[in-house]
Amino acid sequence: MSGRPIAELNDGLLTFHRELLSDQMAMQRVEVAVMTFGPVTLVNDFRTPDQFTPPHLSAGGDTPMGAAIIEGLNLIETRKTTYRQAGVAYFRPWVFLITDGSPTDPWEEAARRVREGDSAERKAFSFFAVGVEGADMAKLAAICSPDRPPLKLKGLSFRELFSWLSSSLGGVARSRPGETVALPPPGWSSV
Amino acid sequence: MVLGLNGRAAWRTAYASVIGTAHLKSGAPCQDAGRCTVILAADGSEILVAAASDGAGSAARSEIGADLAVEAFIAEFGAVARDDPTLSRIDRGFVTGWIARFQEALAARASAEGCAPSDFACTLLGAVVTASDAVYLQIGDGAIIVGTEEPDRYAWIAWPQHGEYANVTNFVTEAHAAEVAEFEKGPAIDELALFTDGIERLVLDSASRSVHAPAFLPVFAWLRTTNPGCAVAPSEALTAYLGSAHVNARTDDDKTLVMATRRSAAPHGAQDGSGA
Repeated sequence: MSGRPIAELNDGLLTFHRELLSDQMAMQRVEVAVMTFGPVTLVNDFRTPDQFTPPHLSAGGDTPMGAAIIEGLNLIETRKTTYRQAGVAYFRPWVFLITDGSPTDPWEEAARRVREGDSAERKAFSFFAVGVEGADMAKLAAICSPDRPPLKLKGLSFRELFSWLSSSLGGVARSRPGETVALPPPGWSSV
Repeated sequence: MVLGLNGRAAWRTAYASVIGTAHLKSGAPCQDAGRCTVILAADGSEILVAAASDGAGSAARSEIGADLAVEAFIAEFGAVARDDPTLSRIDRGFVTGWIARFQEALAARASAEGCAPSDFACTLLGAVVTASDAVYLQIGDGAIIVGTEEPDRYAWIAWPQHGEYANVTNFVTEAHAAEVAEFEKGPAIDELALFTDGIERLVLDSASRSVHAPAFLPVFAWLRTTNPGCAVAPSEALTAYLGSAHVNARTDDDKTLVMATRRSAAPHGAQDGSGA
């Protein structure tokens, strides 16, 4: 990803941050971590919106998507352990994978972890994949849970994507016991 | 101190449910219910029967379910306790039977109204306290706390039932309700509170899994100064407390508090806060 797409993505991250900050319940209950891959790098560990500085991302390198997914899922497990030790109640985590490429490393183990965790039995997390123009949608479909197929971004509507994400997270932060949160329709998806 | 016929002090009670700010914003109704009543046993002694319920946010008629659950608990457990204040007839089997009867009644109503029983999904907290004995029932989150021999310490009966995630719990309307129901029997106590999950974070310390006593002390101190007798309407003072900025800054959920005490006010503080 380079040029205009990466500029739009960075702009989308700023929108995401701004909208989380404007939601009082999301401010208290949402934590964000950011990882990039190419190589796999933890840019921001989990932070509440007021402590989170949107990174300025740049493109480059290869696309070790498999390793990035596994590291991301491990990061979530570590965070859950921290919450449990502190006695903090938490919500089902969301993972958002955004790419315009195809994995350049083995991805089968990552796919197994995603499908095992994002299942009706485990409910360990929800895994969303978003393909930007040029993304290998077939590989993404093979990685994602069959119940949550990858979505194709409409043009470069990152701002709409992140706006949807922040309002959806706000909805989860407000959800009550037993509630399955109905997500607003993703206006940013071409599907 | 006002004495009941059995020599124990009379119950003072108060209850209130207040809509959460998130429900106000979305136009959803208050889906909590809770109240208590004091009935007289055959020997003239007082029996406190209290219940609270939190309707599931995702269920279309959960505020009706919550109301029905509270009324069904108070009616049936109260009737059995009146006949036998030792509460020997209220055991696991009775609880299982009560849940089955309640679910049958809901199923009939759902079928008449063309909806699903799960549309009435709600939790249940219930307590019966006689002169000698007490029973407690909990399905779902929220909790029941009781006074201990130490005047400033409270103990919970069952920890709120949450799944791995904060927004997952058990409902009295579910098939496995009887299996997950926490049922406890014990000696009579003289102070208790039932509350739904809206105020869990204010009154329970999840790290030490204990009751945050400072949250209850002023409210019980106030309750002890009120007129003895059974509240027949929601308490204005509790309603004001549950709707206060202090509470709303910590939760946007509906919240219900049902409280009862038969402790007397401390001699020096007897006049404090009695205007509430």
